[in-house]
Amino acid sequence: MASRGRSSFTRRGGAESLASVPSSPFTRPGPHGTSLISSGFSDLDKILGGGIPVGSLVMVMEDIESPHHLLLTRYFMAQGLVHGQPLLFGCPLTSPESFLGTVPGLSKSKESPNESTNAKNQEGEALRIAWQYRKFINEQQSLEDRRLQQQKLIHNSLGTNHEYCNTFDIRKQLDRAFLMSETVECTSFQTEMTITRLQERCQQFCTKLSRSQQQIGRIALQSLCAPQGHYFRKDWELLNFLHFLRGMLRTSNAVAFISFPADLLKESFSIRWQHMADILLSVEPLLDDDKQMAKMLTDYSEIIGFIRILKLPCINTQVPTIPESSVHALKFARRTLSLERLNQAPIDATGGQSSGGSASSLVCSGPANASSPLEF
Amino acid sequence: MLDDVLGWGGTLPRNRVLLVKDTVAASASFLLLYLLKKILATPDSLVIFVGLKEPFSHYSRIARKQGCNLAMHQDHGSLVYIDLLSKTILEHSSLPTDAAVINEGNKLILLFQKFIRILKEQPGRNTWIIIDDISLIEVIAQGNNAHVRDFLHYCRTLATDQQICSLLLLTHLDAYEDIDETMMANHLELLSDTVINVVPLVTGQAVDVHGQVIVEHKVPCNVNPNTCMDGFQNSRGYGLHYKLMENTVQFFTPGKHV
Repeated sequence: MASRGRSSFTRRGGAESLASVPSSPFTRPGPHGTSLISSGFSDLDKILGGGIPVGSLVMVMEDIESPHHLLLTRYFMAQGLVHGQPLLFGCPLTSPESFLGTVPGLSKSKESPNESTNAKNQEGEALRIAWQYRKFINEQQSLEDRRLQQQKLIHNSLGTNHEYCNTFDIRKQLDRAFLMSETVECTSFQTEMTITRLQERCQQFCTKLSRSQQQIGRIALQSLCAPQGHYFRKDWELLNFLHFLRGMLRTSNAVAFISFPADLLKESFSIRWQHMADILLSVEPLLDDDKQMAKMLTDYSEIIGFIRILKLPCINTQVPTIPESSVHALKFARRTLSLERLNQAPIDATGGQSSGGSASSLVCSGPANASSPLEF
Repeated sequence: MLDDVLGWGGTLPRNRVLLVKDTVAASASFLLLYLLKKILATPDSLVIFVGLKEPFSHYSRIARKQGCNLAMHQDHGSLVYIDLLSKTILEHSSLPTDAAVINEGNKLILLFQKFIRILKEQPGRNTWIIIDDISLIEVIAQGNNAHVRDFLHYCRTLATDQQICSLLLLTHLDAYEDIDETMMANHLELLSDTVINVVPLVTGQAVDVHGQVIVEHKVPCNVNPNTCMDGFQNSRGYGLHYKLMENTVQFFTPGKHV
């Protein structure tokens, strides 16, 4: 991206210092001495400028009408699990483990075409074999296949899978082997009574990360201030927790991914939360049967919602990154999710809240904070 | 350009209270560093920087790109950095624990006492206290507005009555929109001599103009009249557009950027 300010010129010193850091296969060197990890969603990584900087606080503003924040949380968690990174997950459900079961699994790897050609060859061979033996051979083959699959899975969990960002299939379930790991911790906002307890959990989690192995921890907290949890309406305590978390993340190898229902907070507190975030996104729904919208967008049927980029990371630099477009359409086609920039640069005044009126206001509307709709 | 509008062209003013307000879309931390650099460049200056938002490494990296070595200033004693992001106030105070326990009700008093101690050690210098930012001071006080107002009032008396330091405070413009929150915003406004608002352009984000600063003086300053004639001037004050770069900040009158 040109707006990231990357040019063909690289400073020698900078390159050396980056090379001296022993990099783990799941991180990438980012701008200004940061290292990036993947959000599990390659399109989102691209928009964020390569990935999420280690030590940053990602916040997603939830929408009452759309559950897409869960999708982003799932992808973030799935990528961490596949990479074997320690995970701390918290949500307002009484059994947060049940949410782990909905984490998407890896979609078919790129090797699959080879396998299919192999199978064809074998079929050809099989033709030559007398038909009585066919059943016996098939049985053996299926046994062998199963063994191979198991081996592959073990390899994956051992970390031989060196991909920075995997592709996930939301319709599949992540293999149990990944979830059984000792490094996965769960906490419920209903059973953890106080915020100080949650704070201690996070602190313990971060201190456990081993520096030598370049372990990067992922903290995912879903619907932190939801009314089901015990932290509802404890505004100042929650802000104190966020401030503590921000300070802790900056000194440890961890990333926190928090989603919160912004509409349930008081206006001024919602703004304070937004100020705390390094990366701020909001999800917005696509209203059903919006004919105006359908006319404007050619691939209306594939779009399931919108993601708005409100803040991009600005760590160790004062220059803000300006995204090419602030609203991206979240599409679901051919079993994979993708993000696409809307062609019309849409700017909307309703930040975060689901727009009460027509969703076409997303596509064409006045500038973000103009005093009158006609002003530029 | 901003110096002319601020009235900082010749010498730095003394015993002033500056309030910087920013928004989610346009952060004003660049302005703090810009002014910090200006203050450190003048001889016999002392800065007490209270960092609540970012770690020291973040500030020092940015300042280094602009040719200002914060670590060196720290060694020379012209910069005192108080890190409240990863440490608590209690960890900073060297008071005996009894005194700390007595003051448990208002931790901000400990921070104020630290200011006093530093100011007494080095009297007569052009001292600036920079706080990044006030909204996080409120978080530390657990939303107890009375404590925060006390603290701010004490700090202001250092500047206006005792005339031993100046204040540079950062706060958020948009965080006080609820009715019960407006009092804090009004209080801050009342304390300050000069208010600088940092807001995004009304047309949204752009690559070549990152936002605008609007400077409003409440007490007369030696503002350069020529530059102010160029800039747009509305009821709130003088406005300038700015563009951020790695090693500098460009301020320019709207429409004059080449």
